[in-house]
Amino acid sequence: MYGDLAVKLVQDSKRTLSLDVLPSYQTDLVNAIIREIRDLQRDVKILIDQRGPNYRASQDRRVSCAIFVLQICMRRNKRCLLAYHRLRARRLETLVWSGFEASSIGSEEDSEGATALTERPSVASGWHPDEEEYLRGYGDVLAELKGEWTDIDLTGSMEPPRDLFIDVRVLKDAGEIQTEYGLITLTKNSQFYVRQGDVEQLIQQGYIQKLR
Amino acid sequence: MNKYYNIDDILTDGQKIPVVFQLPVPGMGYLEHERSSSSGIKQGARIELPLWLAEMLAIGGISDELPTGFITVSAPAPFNNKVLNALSADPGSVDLRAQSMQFYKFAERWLAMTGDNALLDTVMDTFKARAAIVHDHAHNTRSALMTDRSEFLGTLDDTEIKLFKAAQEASKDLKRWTTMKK
Repeated sequence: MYGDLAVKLVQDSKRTLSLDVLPSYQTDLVNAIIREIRDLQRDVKILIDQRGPNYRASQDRRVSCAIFVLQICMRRNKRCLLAYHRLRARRLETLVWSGFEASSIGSEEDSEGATALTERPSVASGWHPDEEEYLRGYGDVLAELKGEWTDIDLTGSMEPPRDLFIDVRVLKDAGEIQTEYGLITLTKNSQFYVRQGDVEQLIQQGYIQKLR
Repeated sequence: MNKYYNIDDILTDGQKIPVVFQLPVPGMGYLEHERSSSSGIKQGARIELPLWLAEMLAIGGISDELPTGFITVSAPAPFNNKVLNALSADPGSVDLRAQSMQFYKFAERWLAMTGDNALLDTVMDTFKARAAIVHDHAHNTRSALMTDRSEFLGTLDDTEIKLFKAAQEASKDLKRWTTMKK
């Protein structure tokens, strides 16, 4: 029955609503639905051709009903496809706003570290290349927006800081960072007592964990 | 605009309604049976169609020759008398989820199509009564009705599940706020 494949896609969207991680892109399902739309369109064309050049929808009710049904099916498939993609696009945008780095997509060794750190969703491979493209493009636009106000970090943490300096533990090797108190080398499992403002970015990216 | 992309609305549109075709249509046998696309639908055939199809066919086909439209619709299973009687007797005991996963949204669409006042009153009263029970369950983790709890929660439809989650979040946030360190 037309529209059944679309229902599967919508159920996947429903599931995504309650998940933190964006699941992999359903390429096969999407392609199948697009094929179904093409088939429907072909059927409509056949029906119209059968009536010949003098066809007028108001005259033959039965054929116009059949064409109407096919048309509604096409619209339904379109709606499901659009809703699926919009949901995913919105999710990607939220990811960018929470400081997700587009460069860390697909790297497996990062994903275990990432889940352990913050409540950020872990990196999921299985995204469509166009989605990664979208992520990068949106990230660029956001960076441009942030660049207008250098005093304030628009994607920073929404919680006000409690102390000026905090204890942190390093989770991944991240090289060296320069602070006003000197150079700090970040090696795994080392702890530092640093100023909050300096390491804010690194916490968001997941290299460092704040100790309570 | 929001309704177009809203996932729950799309799912609601998938609910089935019994319809009767007012004219024979060739080549649409696939609506009736999964396989046969060659046979047509006879006049007066009774089929269950999803809401997205049924609504458009019922509204869209009206003309001078055919004032009743392509199809006529009748009340779907979740809104028959048996269910409505059970709801007016004791709203908390009816398994709404078994009737339809999207009971309230479905009722909204059906009422918009037909304007049945009796159904409207029953559904509103049901919602209010059940919302009170849902709220109670959300706030008391050890209520006196403990044994009924998981049973009742399994009968909630999608709207009520959202209510339940919202109530739980609210009470959690409140507890966190009142016990927060300065």
